[in-house]
Amino acid sequence: MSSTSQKHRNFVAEPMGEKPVTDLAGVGEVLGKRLETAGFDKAYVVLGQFLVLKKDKELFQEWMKETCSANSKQSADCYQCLKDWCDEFL
Amino acid sequence: MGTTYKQLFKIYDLIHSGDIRSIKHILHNDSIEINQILPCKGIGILHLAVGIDPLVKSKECTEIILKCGGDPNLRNDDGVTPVHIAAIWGRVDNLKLLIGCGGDPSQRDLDGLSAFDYAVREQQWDVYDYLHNVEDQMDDSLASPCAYSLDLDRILVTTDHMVAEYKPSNDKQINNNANAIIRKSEMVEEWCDKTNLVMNKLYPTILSETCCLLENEQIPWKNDDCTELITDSNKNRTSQQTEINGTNSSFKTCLSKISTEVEISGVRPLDQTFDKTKDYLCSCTRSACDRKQRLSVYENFSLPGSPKCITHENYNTKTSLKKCKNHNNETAAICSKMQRMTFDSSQSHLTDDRSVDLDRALAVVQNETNEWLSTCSSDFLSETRAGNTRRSSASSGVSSNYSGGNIVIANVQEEYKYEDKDEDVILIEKRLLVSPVVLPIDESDMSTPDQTILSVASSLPSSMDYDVNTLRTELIRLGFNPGPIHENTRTLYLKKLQTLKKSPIVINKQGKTYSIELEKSIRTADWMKDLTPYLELERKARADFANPNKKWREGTAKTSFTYLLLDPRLTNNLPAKANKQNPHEAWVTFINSIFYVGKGKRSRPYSHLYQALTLWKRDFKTSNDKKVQHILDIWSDKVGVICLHIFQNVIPAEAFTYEAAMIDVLGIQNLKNLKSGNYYGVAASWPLKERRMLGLYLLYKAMQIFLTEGERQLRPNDID
Repeated sequence: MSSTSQKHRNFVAEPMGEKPVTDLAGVGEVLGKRLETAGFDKAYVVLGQFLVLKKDKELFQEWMKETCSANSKQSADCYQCLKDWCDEFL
Repeated sequence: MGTTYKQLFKIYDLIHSGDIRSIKHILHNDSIEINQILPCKGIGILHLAVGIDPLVKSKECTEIILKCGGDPNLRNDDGVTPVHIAAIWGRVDNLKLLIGCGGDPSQRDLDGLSAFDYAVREQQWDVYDYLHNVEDQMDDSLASPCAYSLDLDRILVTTDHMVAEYKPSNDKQINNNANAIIRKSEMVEEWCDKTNLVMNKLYPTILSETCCLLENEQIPWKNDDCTELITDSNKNRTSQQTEINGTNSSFKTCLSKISTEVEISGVRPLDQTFDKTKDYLCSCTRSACDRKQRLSVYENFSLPGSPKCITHENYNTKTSLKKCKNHNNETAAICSKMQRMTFDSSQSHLTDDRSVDLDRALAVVQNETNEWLSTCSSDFLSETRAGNTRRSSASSGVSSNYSGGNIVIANVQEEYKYEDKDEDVILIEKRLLVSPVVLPIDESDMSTPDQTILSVASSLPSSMDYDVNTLRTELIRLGFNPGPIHENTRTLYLKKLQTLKKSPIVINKQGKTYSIELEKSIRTADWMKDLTPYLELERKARADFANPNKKWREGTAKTSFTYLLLDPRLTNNLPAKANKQNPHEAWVTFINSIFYVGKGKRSRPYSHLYQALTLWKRDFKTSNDKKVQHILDIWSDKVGVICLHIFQNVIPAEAFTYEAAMIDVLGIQNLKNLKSGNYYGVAASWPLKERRMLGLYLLYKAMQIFLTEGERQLRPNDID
């Protein structure tokens, strides 16, 4: 696996608590804004969607693309971030 | 620990006194570690149960304990296992159970004796014979007579919309063996009364539209002609249409209509009626005469168990018909067309070839609403569904051309009853014909289905009216397991559905890693283009076995074959869809579905299923034996194990070698085989790579055989 970003490691390091959605790897300011407008203001809401899609990578990426026009790199980062977080804390 | 022993001693006493009910009670209610050797007694409870008198009690006790997880290989201080005891006391039935549950007859006790040795020493010849069979060491050259019979049981013809069943009529059944052509005139049987659905009675059906009949002089249907089917030739299906002979004409043919009231054809009322459809039917009938205006009744069974919401659409142009067709396919709804075809009218169209006795018209429900179907517990339904989903996924695009006014595909299944009287074994063999019967259709229709599928698939709106249930059903049918579908995920799943329709999931390898040679072959399909190196290997191996002067294990009688057991849940009737798939996909599916490689002999082709059957009959659902367990799993899913017999009529050593080569190339960890096989002859001296190449080629040949022969599913006779 390719090395992960600092943001990724930070996120995966601890329970997400009330972290904003922008703390997710792959989600920067722009995507964060878009997600917030769509109602996904906290990281845990995105986690909810992630879980509802049964951790399916393809579907999750598709969803990211639809909701906040994320590119595949961003959505893959975000997916991996949530995936690793789940492996750790769920 | 103390309490456990106390409990065990209690059971011990109960077994002695034969109090089955109490034993059951204790074992079911308390969790006891039963696989222990009792102090002082020196045996476990299973040891005792296997050996007590009378036989009946012993059998029951054994059964109960095994069901509760008793270990047939539990060794006491002398190394004696229950298997040994069963052998010593000649308890063949118990032995069958034990071995079926994973008992190892070759295990030796501390005196170095195996169950086999004990059987000989105690002169328990029944046991001896049985063990021989299990060990598969019997010498074929003894030319054991054919120990089984195989009779045609029934023929099923299925399309998207209906099922017709034919049974050999009783008075003719005597002729079965004589290869005589059996007339099937009265073989129609009512067979699904159990279901309180509309389809309580099924008859061979003719489903066609008047205009369609005009276009195609013959009834585009195979099922009236059973003589051909009986003659057991899987070929020539297509020729049957024309080879109808006058004497066979008294088939009960009927119209079929999906979940509609049949009173309209004036024949028989049904349990459930759907009044709304009546009107549509009438109009349908009227306009059926008009060849230009084809009308179809479109029923959308969107909710399980509530097939009353009907959308009714009227299509006048061909293109819209196609849309309807795809729509139909996708929504898993029932698209039905009622053809009013009286005896007279059909006569007039058909008398050239046959006279059809249209004395019955019955409604048949057969559709893709899987959920709806699955709510009905009837066995029939699941079978229908199996056929149905298989076909629709196999031949998407073609299968529902029917709404254009032509009937396209009918799947023909033959069911044979396999009976081995000695072993008291009855299996049902279901043969799915390779090519679904393709009925004559318009050229234009034939050429377009793929395009229309694509065009629909690429435009989201056409499928926007999926409701959650149908969407879920459809996704599941395509092999995808969706999460909760709600507003946030719905569009995602719709898109997913479309991609799935475009490129169906190629069954992933499920974490299996095969040998290098096979992995390579899965990655690219290039090797299929040049098979010469493989051919060369096979020729070499074969030439060696053809040498009559060598002495081979188990003699030189050419009565052996190699077989593969395939999982029908993975193949999905591969042979039927293979010609629409690229060979590489077929190859991957084929490889993935193999779960056992074995060697058999002609006298008892299905003996490898006996163990599982013994357990099945006693209602076991688990076994320690991986192969048996897998077979039981498959049967539990109401399908039959696919048994592919390949390389018939070879000497045992050759069959063993082929078996070993195939096991090696697949990798034993991917199979349910316990041990890898033995090589004989020149192949034994080959390096592993060449052996695997031989195995690969043999598998390739096996696939070809499979694709030509069609699927044959074997199941016990109590699964329908």
